[in-house]
Amino acid sequence: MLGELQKIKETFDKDLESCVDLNSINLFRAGLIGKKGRLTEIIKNISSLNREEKVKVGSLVNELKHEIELGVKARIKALSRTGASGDSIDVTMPGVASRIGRKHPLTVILKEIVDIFEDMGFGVVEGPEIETEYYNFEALNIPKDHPSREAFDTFYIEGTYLLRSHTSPVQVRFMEENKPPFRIIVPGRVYRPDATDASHSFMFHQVEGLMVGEDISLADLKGVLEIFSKRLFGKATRMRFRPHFFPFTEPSAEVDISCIICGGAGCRVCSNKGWLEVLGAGMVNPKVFKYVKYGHEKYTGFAFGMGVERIAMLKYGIDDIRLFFENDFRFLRQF
Amino acid sequence: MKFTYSWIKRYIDLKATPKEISDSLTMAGLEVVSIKKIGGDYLFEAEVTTNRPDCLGIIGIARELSAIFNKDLKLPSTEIKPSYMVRHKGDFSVSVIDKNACPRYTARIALNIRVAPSPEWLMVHIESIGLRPVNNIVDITNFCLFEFGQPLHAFDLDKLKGNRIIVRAARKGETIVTIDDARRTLDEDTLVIADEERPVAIAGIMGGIDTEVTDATKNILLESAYFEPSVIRRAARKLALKSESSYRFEREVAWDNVKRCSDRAILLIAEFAKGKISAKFFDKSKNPLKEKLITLSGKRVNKILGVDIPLDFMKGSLECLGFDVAVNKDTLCVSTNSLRKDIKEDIDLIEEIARLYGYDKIPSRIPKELITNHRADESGIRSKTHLAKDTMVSLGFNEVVSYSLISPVILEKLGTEIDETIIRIKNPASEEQAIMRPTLIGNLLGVASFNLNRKEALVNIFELGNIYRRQRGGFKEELYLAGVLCGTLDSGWREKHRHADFFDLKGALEELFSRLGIKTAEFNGEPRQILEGSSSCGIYINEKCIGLLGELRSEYLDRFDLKERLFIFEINFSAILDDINLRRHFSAIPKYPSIKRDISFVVDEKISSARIMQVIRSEASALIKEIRLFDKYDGGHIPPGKKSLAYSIEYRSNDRTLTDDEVNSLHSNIINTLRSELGAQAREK
Ligand SMILES: [Zn+2]
Repeated sequence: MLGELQKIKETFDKDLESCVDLNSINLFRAGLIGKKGRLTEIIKNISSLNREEKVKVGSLVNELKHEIELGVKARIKALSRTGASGDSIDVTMPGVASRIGRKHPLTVILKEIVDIFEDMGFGVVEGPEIETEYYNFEALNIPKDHPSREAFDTFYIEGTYLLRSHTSPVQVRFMEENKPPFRIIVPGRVYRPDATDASHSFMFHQVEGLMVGEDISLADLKGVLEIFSKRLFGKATRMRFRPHFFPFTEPSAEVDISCIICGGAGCRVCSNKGWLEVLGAGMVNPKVFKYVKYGHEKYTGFAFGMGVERIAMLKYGIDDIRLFFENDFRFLRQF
Repeated sequence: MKFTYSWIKRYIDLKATPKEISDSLTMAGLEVVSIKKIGGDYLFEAEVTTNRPDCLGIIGIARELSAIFNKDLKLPSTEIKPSYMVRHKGDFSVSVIDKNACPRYTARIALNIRVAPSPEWLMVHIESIGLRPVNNIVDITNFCLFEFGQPLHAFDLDKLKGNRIIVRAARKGETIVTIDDARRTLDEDTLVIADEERPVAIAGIMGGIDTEVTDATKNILLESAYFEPSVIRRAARKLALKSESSYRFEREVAWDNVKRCSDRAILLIAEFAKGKISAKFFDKSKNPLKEKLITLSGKRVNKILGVDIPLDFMKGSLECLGFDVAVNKDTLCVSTNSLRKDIKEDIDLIEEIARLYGYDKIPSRIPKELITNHRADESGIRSKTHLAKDTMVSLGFNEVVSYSLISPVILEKLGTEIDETIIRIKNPASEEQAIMRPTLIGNLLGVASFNLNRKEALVNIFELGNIYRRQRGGFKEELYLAGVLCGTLDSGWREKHRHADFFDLKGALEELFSRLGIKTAEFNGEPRQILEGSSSCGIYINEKCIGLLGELRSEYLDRFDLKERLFIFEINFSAILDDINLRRHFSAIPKYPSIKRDISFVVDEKISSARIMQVIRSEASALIKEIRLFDKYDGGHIPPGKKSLAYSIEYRSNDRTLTDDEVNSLHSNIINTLRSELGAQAREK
């Protein structure tokens, strides 16, 4: 009897290990401590032993029984962890996951742009897309029948109502309601009846910036835009201000950044100039301040504007503006 | 504006290379867009901004270069020697009827000219900028136009009827054949130069063919004028006719150049066409331009630019640009002149100084002024739209951005009536972009169709953008959120693929509302016309209908070239902005455990899930924390007209641990109530 017990004890670990599922564990357990199990049989025969033997075998049996229960429990737990089958899996098979969607690249780039300016304390302001001639042109020093209007072909709705051709009207609306100092940016859709091609669209997005105070200078404008261009396009980006003409700013500038493709050496994207035009900017024309009834010469300020699609096209290397509005999944899923 | 290296060198003694010239002009605001080597010369093309008509003449560009490189500007002589002059015996007069449209008109006569080919140097200059040499008279007027930016016109004097030039508005229906051999019908909006009988030129735009200079011409009348820019602009637009002349008149020519350029041309004519100049110079001027004094404070210059430019530099720069400058302590007194009509205020001078100082020398500075962040998303609209977009994306939807201008065909397909609330563009570039979208659905169906037809298995898209309608005499721009779900849900090799359906989309919206802190969204009620009646509903928040959800009716599928069952939603996002709650308030983690019990029963098919939930909740609502439908089954052994539903109910008390007995009794009460209220029959599991 003791020999039999010894045998059970010796092979128990190995036998248990060979059980790879719940069923075989149960069978194994039943084979030991079930109704007709080997241990059960021993217990049944204990009464035939003498007293001394009874004590010895009895305690051994109890010990073993406890060990078996614990072992079986632990094995079941272990099996449930590795998966009931215990088979190894092909870890190179693709994972099973639900895919998240993608934000539109214009949303992504717009957020990047807005975040940079928000970090510099600019607040976001929005305005209507359906505007009047007054806000879109006159108050921005673009008189009727003036050649400067030529740059702003416009969709009209009726009378003096039109679709804004830039986000600048929001500047005027904001200044009518607020006194300096302030700094704001204005993102939004704008419309121009351009023939649509790879680089023109009748609808696109702009971000306009405006900062006005008692001591704001062209140097401040350069500082702010330098931070912006380095953050958006990388630390190595250089910036260049070229004098230009806009009716609502003076002095005005077109702002170029060093080509992000070739770094300035000249390539196809920058037409071998080494520079890419990305922004229009300047000091707010005092005539605009006059329209919003700010005191003469008390305030100075700067304004700037950029096309969101153009920035996204440069940053992501997109060569056709129409892709933004076609919404092809093969395009959208790249961002 | 085209010009050549050799032409520029007529007025300024430059050593700079073409590349240096191009770069420095560009950095001074006159962007050179191309340089081409032509023989031994270089052809430049510059983009002249509308404020700088002075640079539409090569002397103007030379003046810029003289200021940039600090070199003298040599202007051509305009002094007419007495030996060129004769007395013209004929009697001739000029009358300007419309003095507002033509504030200055000058004319002079040249007699006994010999029309012949131009001298070599003149032909070369003219050809180098792309013009075709015609004869010495025409070439000289062209040369002077490009030299000064002042258009001239020469008439064959002997072909003018009567002895009078009249500047007047055209009469309605009057016609003229212009030198391009086209007959043009005029009206009162167009200013003409006429003789006693007919128009002989469209003022500032193009001359007439009848009076043009030919090889047989003996005597000419040379016109040089200042026409009101807006008058020329309007006429050019109306006639759809543009010329080098109209381009310059529209941008305003310089008052003083009118005579100067005429003098220059007549001298060249005397020299190269051997003509004699009539001593009489007709000059009909409304009122000569008054010079104005601008006071410019050096302090203000430096304040606006953020630099420290010495007064001497300012004075020197302005003088190089042709201004008379006097210094008075810290201020400059600058007289304006007609060559630079864009200079009217001190700010205009500040720009000139900045350009010549060099924008690149202006330092970068971080604004030191302490400025508050104005109205930073007061309404929370930006955080709300961001959260909605983030949530939709994390639910697997792809964001699309589509045009706000759409074709009326899209509305026809949607069965949307094009009534007075629809906004139409008066001058659309094409009918495709004629309507401001009153819904996002049409565009989304287009995008779905586009992608499904390119073999995408699943289209799950949304757009958050404005829609536009007319409203009470004004216009309404409202943010809408809309989405489409169509195709096969496929999570990979393990699970079976299946078609996306109503409940997938509803589930996404439930999650969205939960994320937006909206607890009261309900889905029921009448759907809209484009949706299947049997599988769609309205979306309500606090009993206000804010959107719709459901399956697109099959006839609409065909119209948008769609084949599979498709589900859409549209929500008026502006209308729910106030319901969106971004504030989060922590509730303590429950102290006592919950107990779950399942319940499964057969009930009449017509009884809604909402009704069943309501009945369950009516029993022991305080202790029920959650009711979840986890199975629905019909067919098989379930009798027709019935369905089998299984709910899991979670019970919990906030102040004690519930006992099994307590929960069992609550649970059997619920089963009893379901039976008595709804005729539900409990099923054994
Ligand atoms: Zn490059």
